[in-house]
Amino acid sequence: MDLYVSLSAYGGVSTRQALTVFADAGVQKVELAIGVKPDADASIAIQTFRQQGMQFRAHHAFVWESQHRPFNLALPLKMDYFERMADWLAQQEITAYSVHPGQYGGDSCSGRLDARQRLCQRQHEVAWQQFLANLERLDEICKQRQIELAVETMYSSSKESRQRYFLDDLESIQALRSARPDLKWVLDLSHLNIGRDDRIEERLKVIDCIADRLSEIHISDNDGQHDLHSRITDKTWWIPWRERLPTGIPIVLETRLNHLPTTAIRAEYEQVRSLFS
Amino acid sequence: MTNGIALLDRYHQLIQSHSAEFEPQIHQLEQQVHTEIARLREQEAVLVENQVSALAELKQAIETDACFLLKTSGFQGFVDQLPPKKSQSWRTKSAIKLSANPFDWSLNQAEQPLKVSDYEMTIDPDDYDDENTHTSFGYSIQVKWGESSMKIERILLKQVYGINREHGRSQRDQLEQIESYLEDLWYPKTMSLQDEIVLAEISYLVLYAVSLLALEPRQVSFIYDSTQPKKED
Repeated sequence: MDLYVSLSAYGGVSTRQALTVFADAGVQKVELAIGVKPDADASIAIQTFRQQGMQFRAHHAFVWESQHRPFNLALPLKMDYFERMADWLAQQEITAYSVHPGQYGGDSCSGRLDARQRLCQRQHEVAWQQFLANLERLDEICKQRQIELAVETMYSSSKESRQRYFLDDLESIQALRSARPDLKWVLDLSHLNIGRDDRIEERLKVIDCIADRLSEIHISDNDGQHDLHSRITDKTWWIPWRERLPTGIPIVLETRLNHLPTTAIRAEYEQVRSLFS
Repeated sequence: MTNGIALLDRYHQLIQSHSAEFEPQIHQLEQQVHTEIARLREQEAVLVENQVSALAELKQAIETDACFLLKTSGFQGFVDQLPPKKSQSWRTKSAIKLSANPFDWSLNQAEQPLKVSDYEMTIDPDDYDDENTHTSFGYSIQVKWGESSMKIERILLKQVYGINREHGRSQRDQLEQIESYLEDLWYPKTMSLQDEIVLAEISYLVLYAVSLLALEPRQVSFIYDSTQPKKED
């Protein structure tokens, strides 16, 4: 079983420091991500550990140079950055990259069909088309470099939030599957726990919808309201359902382990690994 | 160009005249305020010292057993003003509904103390979520319930993403963060319904205790823009 640990699990330090801790804890498969401090040494550190046998995947606005570049695929984007980033991934022989689907102004569109609702629907449509266009271009950039691109399932925003993610419910996921049947997916099991219908069957429908197109599976836990990336326990919702997941798909542990000693990270890694063996 | 220079000269003359006429008066007023504040501070010194002692004793009492707060009107008011839970967490097995009157809570019959201590503010300038980095502000606290003890490393108060974007956490949100952490006091034991009730009650008490542990002595102050150091033009 391929168990990767996300670099977001040990942020707030340099890439080199985080990778050193992971290596000492016996972790040899790492997903590059947000969280570590950007610096000019990041790229060199990744290359050094790769040459020592560490394997990498990359996720969304991962840190690889001295600047961190957050982005939203629902907005118009210059693609120069992504070309440079994909060139770097290819140089590092990293062949898997995944993204979040983008956020848009998600003010409530419910109620009668008045002018406000029509405007809201129009904004949604514009953002969705922008997301599809960005995704298509990014997919081309990745394919040209033999990198597999995947997009992640998200979670429902709170009612107070002014932003809403695409791919935060089954309907939206099915819409993208129809629009892009060739696309690969990242299934985040903890995202299914946030702000949704608590019925298990609804969560399982999401899993089943993309099970045959998975690139990787993200795991952690949360309180049902915020994406806390907390530790996986026997109360974590998907534990009784893990047998249902397709086998052979890389799993990425996203639990926050910041500041923990190497022994604790090793223990967590082994414990999670035993869940899938 | 000549006309422009003359206009600029005239403006500078007006500024100088203004300064010459009003700055001495403002300076004099500022001195009077400083003198008066110094006099008030002298008068209040004993009261402030008494506040420091009272807060130290209160802190000691909370560190010994915070359950005495259950019978205070302050705690009753605190419970009354908290909005109801937004949604039921998947992890909470049953919907716990506490009595609106803390006098009826089971903690009143508790045979073991609830010790709440070591309140500290926390700042993390290198925090991050799935998409963005930010600075987060919060606090840490030590909780001891009978033989079980744990340090809650961070309850989030606010995440600042930039000049125009920040995300504050309400008291209800803090309460749910505390409750989520304190479940570990029972780990690895399976929690009974009574345990869940006690957990909910303790969480309220811890959050209220935090609001008291964060208190600082009140002192007179006087803030008026004209008395602030002048900004560079």
